[in-house]
Amino acid sequence: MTPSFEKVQQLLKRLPGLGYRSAERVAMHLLIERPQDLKPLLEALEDASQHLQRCVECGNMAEEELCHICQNPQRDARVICLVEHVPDLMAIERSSAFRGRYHVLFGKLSPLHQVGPEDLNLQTLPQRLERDQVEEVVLALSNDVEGEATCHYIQEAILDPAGVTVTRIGFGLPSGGGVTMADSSTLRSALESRRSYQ
Amino acid sequence: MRFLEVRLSDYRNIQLQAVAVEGQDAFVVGPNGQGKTNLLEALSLVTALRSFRTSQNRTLVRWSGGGEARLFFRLEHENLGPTELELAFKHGSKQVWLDGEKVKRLGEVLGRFPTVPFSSQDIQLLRGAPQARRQFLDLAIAAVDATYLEHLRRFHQALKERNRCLKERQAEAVRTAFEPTLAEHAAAVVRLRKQAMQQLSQHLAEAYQTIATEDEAPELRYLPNVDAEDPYSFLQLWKEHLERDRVMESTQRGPHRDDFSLRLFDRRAREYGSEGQQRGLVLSLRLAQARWFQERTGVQPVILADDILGELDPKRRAGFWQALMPHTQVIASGTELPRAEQSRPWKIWQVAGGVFEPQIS
Repeated sequence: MTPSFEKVQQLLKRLPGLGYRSAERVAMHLLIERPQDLKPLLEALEDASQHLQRCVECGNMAEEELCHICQNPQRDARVICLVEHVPDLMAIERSSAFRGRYHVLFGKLSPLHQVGPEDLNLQTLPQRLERDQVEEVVLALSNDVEGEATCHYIQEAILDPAGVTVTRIGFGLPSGGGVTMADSSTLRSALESRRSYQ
Repeated sequence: MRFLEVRLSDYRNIQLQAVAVEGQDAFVVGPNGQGKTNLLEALSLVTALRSFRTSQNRTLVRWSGGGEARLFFRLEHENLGPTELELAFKHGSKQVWLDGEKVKRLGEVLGRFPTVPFSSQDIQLLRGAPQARRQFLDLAIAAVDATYLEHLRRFHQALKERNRCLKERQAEAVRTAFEPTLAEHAAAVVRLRKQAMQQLSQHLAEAYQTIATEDEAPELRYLPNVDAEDPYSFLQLWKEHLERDRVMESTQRGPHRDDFSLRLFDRRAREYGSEGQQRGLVLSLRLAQARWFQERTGVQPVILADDILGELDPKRRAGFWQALMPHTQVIASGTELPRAEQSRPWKIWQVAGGVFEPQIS
C-alpha cells in the first residue's frame, strides 16, 4: 500500500455501491493489473463530464440542452410521468409502455435524510404544466412512506392548484409471477388495486 | 407444531449439544446456572428470531467460542410438515435457512413457528412500563397477521419523519405531507389492536377461570392513547395538538403511546391484586396468547415453561396444567423433578454445565 494508491482507494470508496474491498479491487485493476484500461476510461469520463448534463426541462441526462425524449415531437407533452431517479425513467422507457414525457425529481422528501422540497427538481414543473397544457401527471414514485409523502406534497403544492388529473402507478404482482410466491404486502396492494375483468 | 430435535453450537454456555425430544413433552432438570433457561430460550428463537431475555443478540454467542452461534431445529409443523430450520447469530446479525434454503426476508418467517414462553420475567407485563406491554402485543399480533407488521413498520417510519419535521421546524407543507400516511397506518394499527384485545380478553377469562378457584371477573382492557379507528380522526387530533407537539418537538398522541391493563373485579390488578392473583393473570395472558394463536392460524404453539410455577399454590398449579390445550407439546424446566400434580408423560433431561443427558427411566 502506497500513499497515492490509498488516496485513489479512498476516493473510489465514496462512490455508490463500492465498499472498502471493491474500491481496492477497482484501484488495483486500473493502476497495476490493467493500466492500459485507465487512459480510455479517463478520456471517456472527461468527455462525458463535458457533454453530459441534466435536461433543462425534465432532468433526464442529455448531451444538449434537451434530452432525446423532450426533443422528440412524437412524445405526448400533455402527459408527464414523475419519477425519483434517472434509472427509474430508463426502466419505464425499456417497457415502451409510456409515450408521454418525464420529470425526474432526484430524490424524495425525507426530513430524516435532510431532503426537503428545495432539494427536489420541482422548480420547472409548474411552468411545464401551464405551457404544455398538461392533462395528466402519473406519479411513478415508490410506495414507501417517503414516496407517498412526496406524492402528497407535490399534489397539494403544484398539481391540484394547476388543475391536472393525477394518477398513481399500480402496485401488485410482477408479470408472469404467481400468487403463491408473492409476499403478503405485495398481495395486499394487488388486491386493493384490482379492477373489473373483461 | 412440535420440536423433534434441536442442535446447538457455541450458544450461551453450550458448546455443542443435540437434544432429541422427538415431539414429546420434556422436563429439563438441574441446579441453577447450568443451562436450563438457555435451552428454552434457544427454542423460543424460532418464533420471532429474538430472545425473551435480551434484546442483544451478542449475548447469545458462547463467550469462548468461534464467534458464531448456530441452532438447528427439526420440527413437525401442521402446515409445512417435517421442516428443518437453521439460525445463525454473529456480530448482532442473524441469518435463517428454511429447509436448506436461505430466507431473504426475515419477516416471512416471523410467527410461522409459534412458541409461547412462560418465564418469571412475565410479571413485568403487569408491573412494568407500558413499553413491555406494547411489545408483547405487537409480537403477538404480528405473529398471526403479517399485514399488522407492515402497518406498524410504516407507522413508525412516518412517525420518525414527522417528529424530525417538528424538531427542525420544517415547512408546514412538508410535515402535512407525511400525515395522511401516518394517519392511515395509525388507524389500522389501532383497529387491529382493538380486535386482538377483544379476542385475547375472552381467552384470558377462560384460562383464568381454570387457574383461579372462584370467579374474579378477569379482563384485559385495551387503553388506546387515541380512541379512533379512522384516519380522519387522527388528522383532526394532530391538528388540535399541533402547538404542544411543536413545543415538545415530537408527536405526543397516537398508538405509540397505547397501553393495556389486566383487571380483576373491574379494578386494576397491578394496584389491587394479590401476589397469587397477579401471577395467575400473567400466566393466563400467556395461555390466552397460545389459544388465540391456535384459533387464528390452526397451528399449535409449543409451550416453554421456565421454572414458573413455584410461586403458585398447589390448586392453581394444577389448574395451570389443566388450562393447557390438549395435544400441546410442553418443554419445561425446574430445579427439582416435576411434582405429582404436574403429571404429564415427561421425558426427563438432566443438565449440568451446558450438557444435556436424557434420564434413563
